[in-house]
Amino acid sequence: MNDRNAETALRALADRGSPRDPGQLYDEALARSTTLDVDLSSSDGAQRSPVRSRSRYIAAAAAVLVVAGIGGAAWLNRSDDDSVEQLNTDGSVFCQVMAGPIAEGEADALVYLDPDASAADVEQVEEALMDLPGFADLHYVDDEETWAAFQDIFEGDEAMLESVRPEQLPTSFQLTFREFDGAAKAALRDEIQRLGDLVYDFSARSEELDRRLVDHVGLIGYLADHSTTYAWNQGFRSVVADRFEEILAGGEPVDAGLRYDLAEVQRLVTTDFERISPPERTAAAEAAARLVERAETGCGLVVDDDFGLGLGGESVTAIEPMPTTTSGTAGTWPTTTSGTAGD
Amino acid sequence: MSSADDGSGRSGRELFADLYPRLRRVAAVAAPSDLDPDDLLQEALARVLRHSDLGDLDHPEAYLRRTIVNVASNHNRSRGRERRALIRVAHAAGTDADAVDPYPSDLALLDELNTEDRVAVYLADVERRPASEVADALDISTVAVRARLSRARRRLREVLAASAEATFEGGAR
Repeated sequence: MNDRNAETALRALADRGSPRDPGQLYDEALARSTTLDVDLSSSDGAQRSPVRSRSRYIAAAAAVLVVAGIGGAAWLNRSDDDSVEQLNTDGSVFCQVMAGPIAEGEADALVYLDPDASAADVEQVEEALMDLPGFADLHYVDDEETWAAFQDIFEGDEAMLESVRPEQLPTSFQLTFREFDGAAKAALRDEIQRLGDLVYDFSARSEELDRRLVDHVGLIGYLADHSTTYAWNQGFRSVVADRFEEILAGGEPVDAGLRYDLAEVQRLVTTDFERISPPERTAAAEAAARLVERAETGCGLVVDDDFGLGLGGESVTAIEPMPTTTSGTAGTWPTTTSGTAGD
Repeated sequence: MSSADDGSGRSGRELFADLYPRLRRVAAVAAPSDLDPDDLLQEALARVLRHSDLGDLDHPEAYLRRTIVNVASNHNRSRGRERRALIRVAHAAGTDADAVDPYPSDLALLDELNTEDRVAVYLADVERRPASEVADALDISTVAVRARLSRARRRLREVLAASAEATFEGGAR
C-alpha cells in the first residue's frame, strides 16, 4: 500500500457527501450562535452531552480551586459553554485539582492518560515511562483509586459528583525520579509528545524557572485589561517575549507553561492590535491567569524550543506598572476577577 | 452577533462563501463517518460567530479549521465511549459486536485513525500545507506535527493495507 492510495482515500473522504449552500449554512450558524447557550444546555442529542458535562465539571472545579486556595478565581468567570477554550483546558483544571501528590512531595510528575485508553494503551505508556532516564518508581492510579480520590476532593458536592462519571476521569501514573533535573524533564517532555493522544495531561514539579514565568505572564493579564493596545503590544513584545526567549534560550525545559494559552495570548496580541475587542482582551487576561495557575501547579504541556515566539524585542517607552508581579495569585488581578472587564 | 462588513467590502457571509469549499473538505476529513461534514462545519462556525464576526478575525480560515478539529475531536471521544458501551452490551447479550456497529460505511475504515491524524495527513499530503499550518490547525508544535504525521501515515497505510487484504481474501473465496 503506497502513499498514493492514502492520498486517494483522503481525497475521497474530503469530497464525500453533497455540499450545501454556504449562504444558508452561514445564516443558520449565525442564528445558532445567538442561541448556543440554549442548545448546549438542552438534551437534544448524545453528541453534545460530553460538552455539557465537562462544562459543569469545569465550573465546579473552579469553585474547588478557589476553596482550596490554588488560585483559580479566573475560572469562575469562564463561559460555561466556551467550547473552543474548554476543549483545550479542561484537562488542566483536572490536573490542578488532582496535583496533590506533587504538592505533597510524593511524586515528581503525574501523567494522566486519555480516559478512553485501553489496557494495552496503559501498558504501552507504562513501559515508555519506565524506560525514561533517571526513572526510580511508578504507581498507576487506576480508575477505582482515581474515583476515590475525586470523591474525597468533592465530598459533599453532590452536584459535582452527580455530573461526573468515573469512566470520564483520566487514570494516571505517579512518577518519581532519582534526580528530577533538566535532563529528566526533557526526556519526560519528549516522551509525552511522542505518546501523543494517549496522554491527556501532564504535571511536573515546578522549578525556579516556572516562578519566573509566573511573574512575566502576570504582566499580560494586567496589560490586557488596563492599558491601550499599544502598551499591551509593547509590553508583550518587550517583556514577555524577551523573557520567554531568554528562558528558552537557556536550554532548560520549562515544564509549566501551557502552549494553548501561550498561543491564545500570542494570537490576540500579535495580529491586528487595533481590532482586539474587549471580549478578546478579557480572554487574553484569562489565558494569562491560567498560565500562572499552571506555572504554580506545574500542570499542562511542556513549552519547548519549538514554540518559537519569535517576536523580537522592542524598546518600551511607557508601560503602567503592574500592581502585583510577585505573588502570581490570579485573584489579585483586577483583570481576572470580573467577567465584564474591558467591556 | 452581526454579519458585519470586514472592511474590505465583503460581509462575513461572503467571506464564508469563499472559504466554504476548503473548509468543507477539512470538515469532511475531520468528521467521523456518522457526522455530516456540513453539520460539523456549521457547529464550528456558530461557535466562532458567537465570539466574533469572521471579518474581525485576521485568519478566519485558520481559526475555523482549528475549531472544526476541536469540535470533531470532542465528538469522537463521545462516540468512542458510546461504541465501547455498545460492544460491552453486545458481549453481555452474547451477540456479535460488529452487529451493533452503528457506523458502517465504505469510508468507515478511515475511522481507525483519529480526527487529528486524518486532518494532519490531509492538510500535509493532499492540500500540501506547510507544517506551521498543520500545527496551527491541530494546536500542536511543528515538532509534534512531524511526529504525528509519521505515525498517522504509517497507521493510514496499515489500515488501507488491511482493508485491501480483506477485500482480496473476500473476493478469493
